[in-house]
This record gives sequence, structure tokens and C-alpha cells, in this order.
Amino acid sequence: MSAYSFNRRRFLRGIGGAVVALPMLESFMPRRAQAAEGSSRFFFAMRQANGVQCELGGEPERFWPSSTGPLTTDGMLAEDRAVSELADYASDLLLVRGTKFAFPGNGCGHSGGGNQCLTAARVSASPSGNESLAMGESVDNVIARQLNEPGVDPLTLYVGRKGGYINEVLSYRGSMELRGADENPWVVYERLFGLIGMDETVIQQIQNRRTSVNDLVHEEMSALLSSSALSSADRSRLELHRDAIRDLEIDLTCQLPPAEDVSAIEAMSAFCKDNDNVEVVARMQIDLAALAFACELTHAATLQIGDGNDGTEYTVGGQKLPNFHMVSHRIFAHGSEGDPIPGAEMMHHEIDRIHARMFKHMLDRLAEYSTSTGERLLDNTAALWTNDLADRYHSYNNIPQVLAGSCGGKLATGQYVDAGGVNHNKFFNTILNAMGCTKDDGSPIDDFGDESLEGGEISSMKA
Amino acid sequence: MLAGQDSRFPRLSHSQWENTVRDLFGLDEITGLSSNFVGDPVAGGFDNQGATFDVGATLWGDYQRAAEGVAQLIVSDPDRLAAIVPADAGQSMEDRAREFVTTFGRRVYRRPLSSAEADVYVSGFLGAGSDYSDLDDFQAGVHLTLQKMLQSPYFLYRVIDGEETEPGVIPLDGWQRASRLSYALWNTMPDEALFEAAASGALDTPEGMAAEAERMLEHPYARDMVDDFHRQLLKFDAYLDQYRNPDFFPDFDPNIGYAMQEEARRFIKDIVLDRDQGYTELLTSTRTFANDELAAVYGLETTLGDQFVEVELDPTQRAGLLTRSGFLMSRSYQVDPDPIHRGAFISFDLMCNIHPPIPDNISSPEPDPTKTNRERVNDHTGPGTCGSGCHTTLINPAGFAFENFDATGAWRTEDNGKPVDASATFTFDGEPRSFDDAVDFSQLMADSQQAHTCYSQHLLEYLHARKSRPADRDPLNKLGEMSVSGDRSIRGIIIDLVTSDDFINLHQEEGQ
Repeated sequence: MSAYSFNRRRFLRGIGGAVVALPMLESFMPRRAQAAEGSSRFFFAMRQANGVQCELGGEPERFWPSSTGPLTTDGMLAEDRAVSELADYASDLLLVRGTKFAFPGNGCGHSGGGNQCLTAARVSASPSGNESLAMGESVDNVIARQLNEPGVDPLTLYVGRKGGYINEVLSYRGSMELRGADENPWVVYERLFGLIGMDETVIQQIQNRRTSVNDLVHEEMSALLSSSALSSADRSRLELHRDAIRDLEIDLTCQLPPAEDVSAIEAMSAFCKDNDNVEVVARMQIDLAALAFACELTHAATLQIGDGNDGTEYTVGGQKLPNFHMVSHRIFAHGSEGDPIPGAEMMHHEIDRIHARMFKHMLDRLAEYSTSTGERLLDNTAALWTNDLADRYHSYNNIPQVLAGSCGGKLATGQYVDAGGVNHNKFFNTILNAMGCTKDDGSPIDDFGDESLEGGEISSMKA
Repeated sequence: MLAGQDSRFPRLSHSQWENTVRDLFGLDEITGLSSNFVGDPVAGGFDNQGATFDVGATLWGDYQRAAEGVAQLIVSDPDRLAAIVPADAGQSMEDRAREFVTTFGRRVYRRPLSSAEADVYVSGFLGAGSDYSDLDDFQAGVHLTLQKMLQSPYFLYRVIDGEETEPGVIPLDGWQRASRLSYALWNTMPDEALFEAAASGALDTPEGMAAEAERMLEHPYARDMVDDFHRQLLKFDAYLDQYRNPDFFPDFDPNIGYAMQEEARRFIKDIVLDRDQGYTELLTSTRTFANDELAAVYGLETTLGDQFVEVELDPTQRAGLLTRSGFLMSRSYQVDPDPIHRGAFISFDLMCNIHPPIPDNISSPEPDPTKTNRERVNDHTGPGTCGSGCHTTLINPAGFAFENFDATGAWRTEDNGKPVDASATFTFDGEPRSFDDAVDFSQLMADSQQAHTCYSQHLLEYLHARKSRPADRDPLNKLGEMSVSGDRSIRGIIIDLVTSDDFINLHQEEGQ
């Protein structure tokens, strides 16, 4: 009998898995229906950095469709825009222009944008600049808090190097509580599906040992928490730790990929931060996020592509492009002065298309998985391709918001809508309500983000 | 955790976790297991601020798997196991288990275990056998005990559980002081000598702390500490990943950043540890360490080879770390040097001036091939522009001092066919002071108490693993005064900081 009363019924469903063999992960495609309940909802957000190439500063439009209204596959293909990469999913898409970040950055537009991207919160004055933080909880955290098993974090994924200037920016437990992001898919796999390929006796022994450890650690944490003169900050940190302690029970109902596919992820472990692996690793992370949804291990996942001002050198048509941040400024510099990059405008567009294809990979996975009631997982999901800046000038106005999935029929898919220049907290109010999240009193959410912002939803997003 | 506030539970950083596991088990190198830990986002300051690190569900799982991995690593290797357990001398299993728990437990908890704590561990040890198929009962007991100890909050945090003697002040006991000292100076757990000092009461006085600190600064781990502090302060990472326009610098090798990092490390450790010199020498020394690659940057007409050797630089051109290649190159653009970022770093990071918020969207200066770099920067941010408030006094003059160094850090006397002007006026200690060039400027900095106090503030933030707070102002001013007058070497400042009242007691100010 446990000495404490926290939830021992966390199910980690896993089986199989070992090592080896590129190329890539086609057998991550599900071979049978997975376990997600038909009524469950999921949220995925993929962040691109540095804005998109769009009509601005003398450059023509290459991102958005030419007009708002219904989306069709043929219509999207005919326009040859970055979002045309998603034409196969025209009826599942909800493109939303006309949302903006409400607050100025604090000396660094990238950091300020990253802070607000999923929080709609103010940007800290201290620390400031590239070190600034969001002053509020992020949307993935709200969803995980309400829909996940108690104590289970949202999946927080990352692709590329962490250069040190600005690293992860997306997921916040609360004001200035930035959550670390994982850049190594093998670590993510191990964490999600770790006890694999073992017989039941061994698994039972491991569980017994873990329970024994947890009992002791929980007791020590509780004793420390009973200390007098704990500062509120220390108390909060210790409670977070104590509440994280839980026993995992291994349930083999969710089928994982065979060993040879998992091995590709393991083989990438040592190279996952390499510039030239960004696209491959992004697809691995996406595979894991989709699988985590299918196994209902979490209801919220985020994926950040590149560091705060993504410095990845993407490859297009066999040619390695300059640093994406420089491309986005159109000069060979991270600052305001530098030599022009010839063809930077089209490079930026091609990089937008790379991101579109990465996002499409997620839609493919979500469309392939089925729920317990036979629908596509995509139909139960709000999948978002977003950006922490709008355009080449790194503006906060008209952030590109590309949604897919109706979230159980709640979102008006198959549409390109204009929200009319509203703060993007309303965008997330709409998504949170579609997800089935509520305020503490059970009423619909109208107050996500900073309390000074006007509440409400974006009606044109709603089905 | 708010900036500047002490915590009773600073958590080990991931590198501290690695170093501690290495030293607990006497391993030759770190296990590398922490590379699988979810990272600790760092927002400002140094990356060792344990009071800001927490343990969410993800990291808790990471710790669990790492503890299991370490236990397996030790128990599966007879030599490693023998190194941490008492020999089998025919004693009972319980006696052997108790000896292991109490002796090894003291190293893990960094204090003696209470008898109640030891009883719990021994009980778990003796009952572990049934949960292992592949280990004998003793091995099983060690395995399970290691798993528990490495997930205990007393291992993962530096727990300070004393009582307040006055509001907000908790004196650290000898064991807690030993840990604080070792994580500050070595970034790892105490060694046996430091534990002995804690047990004997030698750490109860500042003099005893100073004696241990002096001993510890002779250890190679202290060299790593000095290196790590300056790496973060001076942003050595920015020396890498540089690009220069090949039309202007056809021979530029982007890998030269590695040599520049090595030069900076050798230069600083030579000043701080080998010669026991002060911040003045760091700002004015003409000595450095170079190889052939750097000799070209410095215009040295000797062949040095691949290895780094000590060299003297031209004293009319170079003085101290601000005239070294890494600082100059990393704050340059593809063609021109970047006086704005050179100046901003000096003003805000090395002089601790406070700047107002920086505008988000800044336009580019207009290209003009007829003007010098300084003229173009002045046109963009100088008098009469919207940026003049900050730039003309706080930033640009400090950057212009280094206009004699091009975008690779090499000496130049002309820019766009015109003579370089590196003279300007900058405020030191509240007084405007004029200078002619970088050597002149570096000497003014070396003579400035403000500069020495600022450096001391960074050292405090690193060694105390927290942001500075208003109460630090007077002691820091005193350190700055002693440093600028030559009464304190950098090593001396370090000793002062780890024997200060603020270091040997915990100051917890609710709501600060």
C-alpha cells in the first residue's frame, strides 16, 4: 500500500521497438486503429520563425490565397502560394489572417514574438531583450492541464540547434515559467514509450522498484514541504516536483512501430541538432507527436522549428541557402546593416514551403490514424502552423495562422477568413472552446492571455 | 523565483548533476546521461541559477531513467561496485548494508544521514532482492538504494533546512557551506577534505572558509570554473559561426573562432590563476597566446606553428581583452566592424550602465561608399537622429574606440580611404573622459572603479548563483575600490565573495 494518495493509474501504453535502418519511417504509418477515444480532442502547434514572404515592401504575395472564402484543392493549386502545399487538405483547413500580437517586444522582436505566440501575454521588462519571457501561461499548458491525466505535461518539441541567443520560446507553465523543449526525438521516444520489448515479469519488477523509490521520494518531498519559512517560490517549485512523482503502469494496447523504424530515430540521436537534419528530425518529432495523440498520452504538443530567430541554413533544390534569419532580412547580417542576399525573396518563399510540407506531414499522420469510433484523428484535432512574426519586417500584425482539423466539428474548416485585425487572444479563446476547455466555473473561455485584452472569440472561425 | 532571491532548495544544474555523479562514483569521465534531460531554459544571467530551476513531470521522468541507468552502470561492473561498497568481511548482510548506506549516503546527501533515514534505506536494501531476477541480494540492495538516493531531493537540491536566527536569515551549517563552496568553485560536490572540514567545524568561520577556498582554487576544477564564468560573461560562443564577405576578406577561415576561443581562455586563466593578477591586467595586458592563425590577425611576423605560445603584442595597438581577436571579430559585420554592438557590450555588460528599452524595428543605415564606417553609424544613430539619446553618450563612443580594428580584428589605419578616427569621449565614474584610441580607452576602463565594481558584480552573480540585489551595492563598491587600487586580484575577489556573510548565510526575503 502506498504511503501517499496520488494517482497510480497513469497508463503508458507501449510495446516493441528496437533499433535501425534509414530511410524513413513509413511504417510509422499506423497499421491498425489506435486507442484514442472518439470524444478526445488534441492540439498541435508548429512554430515557424522569422515571418513569411508575403505582399509587402514591393514584394508580391506568395503566402496567402488571393481572396478569403471557401478553399478548394483546385483553387489552392491554381494560385501557387506557400499554403498551396496543403491543397490536399483544403476542406480541412482554416486559414486565419488578421490576428496580431497585442504587446510590444522588449528590445527584441523575435523574443517578444516568441513569448506572445502561444500565450497572448505581456513580455517581461526584466529580463528584457532576447532574454525576455512571457508573463502568462501558454495555450498548450491550459489544454494539458484540463485534458491530460494529472501531472502529465504537454509534449514540448524542438528541432535544430540551440544557439544560445534565443532558444525555446513556446510553452509556459505560467508567468515567466518557460518549459524546456526536447530536440532529440530518441529521448522523446524513450520517455513516451520507454519500457519496450520486455516480458511482463521484468516490467512488473521495474514497476515495483519505481513504486518503492517513489514512496521514499514522495515522503521526503512532503517533509520538506512541511518546513516552516518556505518562500512562496520555493513552495511552488517543490509542489511541482512532488506532483510530478507518479507510478507508470505499462499497458500494451497501443501498437508501436516495429524495431527497425524505431532504430532510425535512435540512429539520429547523435545528429539531431545538425543543420542538415532539420527536416528529417522535424518529421520524426511530428511522428512522435501524432503517435502520442493516437495513444492518448497527451492532448497537447508543440513543435518549434529552429531557434528563436531560426538560423537554419535550409536546402532547396540541392542548394544550401544562407542563414534563414538573414534571408528573412534579405541581407547577409543579423542586424540592420549588410550586403543584400540576391534572390532572398524567393528563398524565403521556398523556406515557407518547406514549413508547409513539414506541417502537411503532421496532417498526413493525423489523417491516417483512426479513433475508437472510426473517425480520422485529424477530425478531432486543431493543428496549427503559426509564426512568431508576420513578415520580412518582423511585424506583429497579420500573423500567419494556418489551422487544420475541425476539432470535432467545432471549427469552420474549408475556409480562409479575415479576423479583421484583432488581438490573437481571441484566436486562442476560439480554439480552447473548440477543444472543450472551460473556465473554472465551467463556462466557455473568453479570457485567455493578458487580463487587459478584450475577451471573446473570432466568430468566423466557428462552425 | 525572483531575481536576487536566495532559495532553500537550489536545484543542481544538469552539468552539476553530471559532475556530481562522476565524483560520487569516482568515474574517469561524466556519464553523459544528462544530455537526455529536458533543458533548463535560462533567462538572463548565468546558467547556474539553481533557484530558478524546477522539476516538472518531464524532468522527473528523466531523473528516474538516469538513476536507473547509473545504478545499472555501477552494479554491472564489479570494480565500480567494489569502489563504493564495504568489502565482504563476513559481516551480516544488514551490517554491510548499513555501512554502505551511511558512508555512501553521506556523500550523496552531502551530510550525514539521520538514523531514521538510514533505517529506511537499510530496510529497502534488505527487501530489494525479490524485485530483481538477475542480481544477487546484495547487488539488488545496492541497485535499489542508488535509484532512491539519486532521485532524492537531498541529492537533486542543495537543501538548506536550518532555522532562521533573524527574520529572513538562515545560517548555513558546515555541510551546507561545504556544498555551497564546492558548487561555486568546482561546479560539483565536495571532496573528502571539504567534507572533513565540514565535520570538524573548520567551515564555521570565514577564515576556515577562506583556507578551503584557497586550496580549492589550486584544483583543475577551479580552472574550469574560471573558464566557464568568462565564457558566459564574454560570450565566447559568439566567436564561432562567423561569416565574412569573401570580396573583402578572401582568406577568412570561419573556423578561426575556435582559435580565438582558445586564446581568450589561455589569456584569462594566465591572468587570474597562474599570475594571480587583477582586472586591471585583464584590461591592459599586452601579453597573449597565439598560433599561426592568430599571428596573422595580430600582424606578428614570426612563425608560431599550430600550438599556442605566449607572445607580446604591439603596445601601441593592443591592450587587454577588448583588443583581443575574439571580442573584435564577434562584434563585426561581414565587411565592417560593428561599433554599436562593441560599444553596447562594453557599456552595458562591462560598465553595468542601464539602458532604456531598445526599439524593436530598427531601419538600416544608408549605404554610402564615400563615408567611413564611423560616419555612417553617426548618420544613423548619432546627434540629430532618433537614436541619439542612447547612442551618442552610452554606446557609440565606446565602440568608436575600436575603429582601428577591422571586421576580422586586424589593425587598420584607414577606412574607405580616410584615416580612422578612434577618439571620443565616454563617461567613467560619472565623469566624461576623452581618449584617442583603444589602448587609451582600455586604460581609462582599468582606472575606473565603476568597471571593477561591474566585474565584481558579475563574479558575485556567478559564484552566488543569483542575480545581484540592492543590498549588494555597498560590498560590491568596496570590492571595486580594492580591485581598482590593486589591493585585490581577481582571485582575491573570488575568495572575498565566497567568504562573505551573504555566502555563508542564506538571505530569504519573502516577496522581494
